[in-house]
Amino acid sequence: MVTLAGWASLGGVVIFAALAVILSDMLKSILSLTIASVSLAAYFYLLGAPYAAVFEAIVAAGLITVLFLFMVSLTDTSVVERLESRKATLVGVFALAFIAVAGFLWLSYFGELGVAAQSNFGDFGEALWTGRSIDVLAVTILIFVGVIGSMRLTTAGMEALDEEPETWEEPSAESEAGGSAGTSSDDEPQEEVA
Amino acid sequence: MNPSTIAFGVALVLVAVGLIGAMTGRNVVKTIIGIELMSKGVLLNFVAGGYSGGEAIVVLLVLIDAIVVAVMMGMTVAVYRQYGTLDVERLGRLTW
Amino acid sequence: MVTSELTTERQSMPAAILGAVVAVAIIGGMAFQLSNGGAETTELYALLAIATPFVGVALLPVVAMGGDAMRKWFAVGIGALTGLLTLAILPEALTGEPLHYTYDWAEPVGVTFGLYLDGLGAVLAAIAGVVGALALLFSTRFMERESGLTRYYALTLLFVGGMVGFGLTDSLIAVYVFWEVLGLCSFGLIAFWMTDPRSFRGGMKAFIVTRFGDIGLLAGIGLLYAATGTFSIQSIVEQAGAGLIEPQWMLTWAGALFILAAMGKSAQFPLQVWLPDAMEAPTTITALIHAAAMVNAGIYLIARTLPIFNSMGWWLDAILVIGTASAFLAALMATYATDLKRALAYCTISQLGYMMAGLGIVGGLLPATFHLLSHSLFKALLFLGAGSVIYALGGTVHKHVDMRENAGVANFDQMPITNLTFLIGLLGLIGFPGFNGFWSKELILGAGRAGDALEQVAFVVLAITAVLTVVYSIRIYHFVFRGEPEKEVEESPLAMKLPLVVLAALTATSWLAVDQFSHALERSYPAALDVHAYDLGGLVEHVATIETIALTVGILAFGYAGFRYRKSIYDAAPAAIPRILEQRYGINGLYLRFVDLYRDVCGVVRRSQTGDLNYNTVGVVLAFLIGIAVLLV
Repeated sequence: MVTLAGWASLGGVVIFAALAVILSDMLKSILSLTIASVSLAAYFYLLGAPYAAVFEAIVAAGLITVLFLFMVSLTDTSVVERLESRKATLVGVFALAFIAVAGFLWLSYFGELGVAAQSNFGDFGEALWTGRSIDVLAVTILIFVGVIGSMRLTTAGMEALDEEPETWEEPSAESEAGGSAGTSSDDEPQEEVA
Repeated sequence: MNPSTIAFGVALVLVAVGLIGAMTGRNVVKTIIGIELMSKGVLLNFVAGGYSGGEAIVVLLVLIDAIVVAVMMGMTVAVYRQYGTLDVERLGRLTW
Repeated sequence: MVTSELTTERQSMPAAILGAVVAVAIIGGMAFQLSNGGAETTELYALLAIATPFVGVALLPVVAMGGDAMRKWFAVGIGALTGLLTLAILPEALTGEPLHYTYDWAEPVGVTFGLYLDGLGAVLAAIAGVVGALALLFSTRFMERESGLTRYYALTLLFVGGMVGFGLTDSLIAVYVFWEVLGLCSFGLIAFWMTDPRSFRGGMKAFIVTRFGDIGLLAGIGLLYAATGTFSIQSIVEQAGAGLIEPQWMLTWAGALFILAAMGKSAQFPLQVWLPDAMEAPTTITALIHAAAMVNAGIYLIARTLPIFNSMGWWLDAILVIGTASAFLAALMATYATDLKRALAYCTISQLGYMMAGLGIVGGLLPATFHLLSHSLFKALLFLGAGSVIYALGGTVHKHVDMRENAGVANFDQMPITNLTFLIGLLGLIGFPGFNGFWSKELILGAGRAGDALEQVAFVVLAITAVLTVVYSIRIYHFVFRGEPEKEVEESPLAMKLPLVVLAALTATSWLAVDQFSHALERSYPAALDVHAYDLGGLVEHVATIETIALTVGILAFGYAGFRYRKSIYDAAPAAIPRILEQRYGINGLYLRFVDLYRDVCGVVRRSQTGDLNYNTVGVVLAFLIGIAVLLV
């Protein structure tokens, strides 16, 4: 079912994803991400999900790339440094652990993953508007939220506020004892007034 | 070897690559790229599984992804304006 | 008064909009629920009584935009409405069989929200509603010099809602939720003057100390659910009655944890340290929360779960010992206190000890709950009276009223109504014949005298405590309400006098309801608990025996003598006693050391919060790996 083009596109996704992470030139990294998206869209199409392919191609490869380029240009980023070596050990350990677990999961489900001899995505329109109607509503609301958020975040007026926060005097036991000595004077034995 | 199995494996690889990208990225934009890659892995999983209604889910996820990246763009630009840097090392403020 | 950025005069638009949305949601939800199935009248009243304060809280920011007068009268109106609704439940709940309604919520997990309207719960809710309304009326004048009042009224209404719900509900989940609401409002209101570090520390102490109790409650509820599979108290009672609860250790631990919870909320020894420091709260709040409502929550919890746990003999004995110890030790502290509110606070702990001890005595359920009713009324009266004095002295700055410095301020010439009503409250407190405290206290003492060895020892200690009660009551009255004043003050305005008069009337007459109350209790508790129902004549006959009258006269006489000769007694006492009392039995020191220890531990754990994005992602991966491990293994 999956043709050579399918394998090629899968391979392209992986390779360009890896490139996107490894490259230190920001522009090249973003472009790798775009090409990976396009490959993924191609794979979607070859697998019989045309709508998903179209959306992936337009949104991920188009819109998101533009957003990333905005990010890079507005923040004057061009080249990114590497990870600091002192972190490399801890991060590397966990990365390897994750890969190991993921590999183990994949291997253990090896035979049972052959679900889709024939991809049956069903009628797209019905699946979207009937089965996922609440999700569509949620995404619509999210779009509004996202628009408002982006507008608010990128307005002018976000000057640097890098001041030291005021330190609050935390009452320790000493000052607490001083305070409670003050209050425990309320409990002093009465001197007879009568 | 079943083609779907390979596809699932690729999906896991994508998630792993994205996670490593987020873990080892020095720049905030790199982290966002890592998150995007993880999301692609998930999309691939849905499509490779051939679940009924999976296409609709993929479409919605792609849209949500776009919104997320848009908001994160806003945040990145705001952070840059406030602190003048996008270096993760110098941005560590959620600390004691 | 103190204004700063922390306090707000009015609420802003966003809060008002949010509040309106929440109110509409609550009302809509209820209407939807009720339109599905019908609702009987009493059930409707109960649901409305619970919902009204919450709707009031949500609408308060909206109303507050209309001005100070609108805000406070709206709050009073909501409080009055709640009070009326809770009173409307009373006739049905007291005279008929207990009503039980359940609403399925999350069916698969067995989470239901139920209402159980019987005499005890309805009375508790009615106390909360009525005293809440009176306290709100009192606050309209008492708090007029303060700022941040929207927060004050909102928290008060929220508290009333939580207490009413607590009394009327049957489901343990709802019990826990309302319990937490009570704790939250207590903290928020004790620390009302946030700019005063003493207020804030008092609130924190209350919250932290009662937290021990909260943890106990949650764990106890979990254990009960695991043992019985249901959250409904009545179902658990039935299961316990049939001896179906297995395994036994779960029941034992649940019982112990529930005692811990009650100790926390009702300020029993050794968790009593928070109540005296809770006097930083506005006095109306003290009257409502720390006299008439929240501290009753622990007692009510024990009373409700009595049928579940009383098959274990040690449980009753533990309650008895804790209650008696608290009563005696707190009364001793009260004789030493010089601050008016603090003395009343120790008095509250002592009376709560009476109730706990009463619950621990076999056949003491009626006396203890009857004392609950009496105490709520006269203690609220006493605190509101103290509030009247504080108001007359010039506002909240004087919330620490040193009784020696302000001697004679509220004597009969200057503040007649306050003086008289305070006197009536004190008469109820010391158990002067004819007032409600007399009947309930004598019932407890009588039950103790008729019991086994441990209960008789408790009876002796409680009798001594009664003597101490008389001593410090006379002392308070003598200092503040008699003698020549050094300061000129005026009587309080009508809005403050009215609640005082109402409460005084109730103090004098609430014991007349013993007929309906005891019969209702008898109906809602299984026969094994030996609830003796009295009608009015039977009560008088039972209590007014020669021995009881002799006991009362003896207590009053010894108390008066103790007051007259207090100086010589004080000189004769061993020197160690004043020192122990000054240290507040060392519990306060324990609390401070605990706080320090916790801070040190947190200081070490803080280092893991690096703020570095890479390390945070590593944390995410770590959590994922642990999740996978848990799922696969």
